[in-house]
Amino acid sequence: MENQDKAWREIQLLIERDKAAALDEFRRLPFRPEAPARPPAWFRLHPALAAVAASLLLAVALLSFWLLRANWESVPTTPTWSGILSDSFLYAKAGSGESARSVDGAMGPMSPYFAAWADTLERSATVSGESPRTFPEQMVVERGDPEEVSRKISRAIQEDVFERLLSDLHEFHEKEA
Amino acid sequence: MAPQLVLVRERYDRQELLASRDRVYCLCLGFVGNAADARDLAQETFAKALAHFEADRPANPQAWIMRIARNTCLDQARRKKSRGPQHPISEWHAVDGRTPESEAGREEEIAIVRRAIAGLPGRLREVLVMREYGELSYQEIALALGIGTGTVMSRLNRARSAVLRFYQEEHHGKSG
Repeated sequence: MENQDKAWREIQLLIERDKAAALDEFRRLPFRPEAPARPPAWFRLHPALAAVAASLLLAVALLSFWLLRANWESVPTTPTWSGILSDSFLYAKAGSGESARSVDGAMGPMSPYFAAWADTLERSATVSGESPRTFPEQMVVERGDPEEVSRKISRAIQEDVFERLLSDLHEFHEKEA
Repeated sequence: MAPQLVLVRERYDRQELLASRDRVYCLCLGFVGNAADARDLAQETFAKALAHFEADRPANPQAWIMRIARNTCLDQARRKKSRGPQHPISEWHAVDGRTPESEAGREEEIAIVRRAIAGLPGRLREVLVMREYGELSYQEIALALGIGTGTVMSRLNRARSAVLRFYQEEHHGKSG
């Protein structure tokens, strides 16, 4: 045991020398530890204050929303999915399309490109003296009466409206090309 | 406590903290085994300590900063996967009354001690380094590591025995 203590004292001496040599250099060089830069105290928000600030913001947001909308009745309670999906074929097939479409039963607004094309055709027909043509898209289809719709379609077929429409489309396409 | 007294107390604690820079540096040296890394780690330790001093308000600033130093060293060791002493010989500076031959011998012996400490299991090494390099009392080591004083003494005893055995084997191996 005594031998071990003596041997350990030798090791301790070596450690002391190691430290002394390292400290000698360490003390010669400047040592200026600095805490990393932190935001100023006023900028640091206490968690409780942060919660209060968040609540106030929410209250202000709700108040301004209410003031702009005037009442809660005007807030849509149903999503606008039906409006979006009403144009889809499957949605219409499922029978939901009717309710989502405009209540007057008329077809939706005509495409501006198609309207321009129709105007051009009408003008050309007026110049050539022909009677203005009627296209199915321009006809008002009564909704909710399948018999009436089928009657109108049959009449259109008998009057070769579709064939004329196709030939006009073809002609128009050739002109454009 | 009055605000002025709190400020005085804080200033005193900070002074006490900065006064322990040599011990912190030596502790880092004991952990990493080279002066350059030890210096960086001491800087890092003090930066962390100063940043968290107000929030933590340690009851024992010495033990507290030693704990930070130890954690910083262990983090660095994990990062670098400790390659061992990098420049143990070149760091040695001649001290009065020593011949180059005897200095070369001392450097070799110190290198052996460093290798012996570096090879210790972590739990034994930290206790030995805190005691021999950091010059902490048993109570301070126990406080810093969160273990009992008895555990500190037993680990220290085992660590010393292991270092001695390694040193004697290496030393006799080289001289014989």
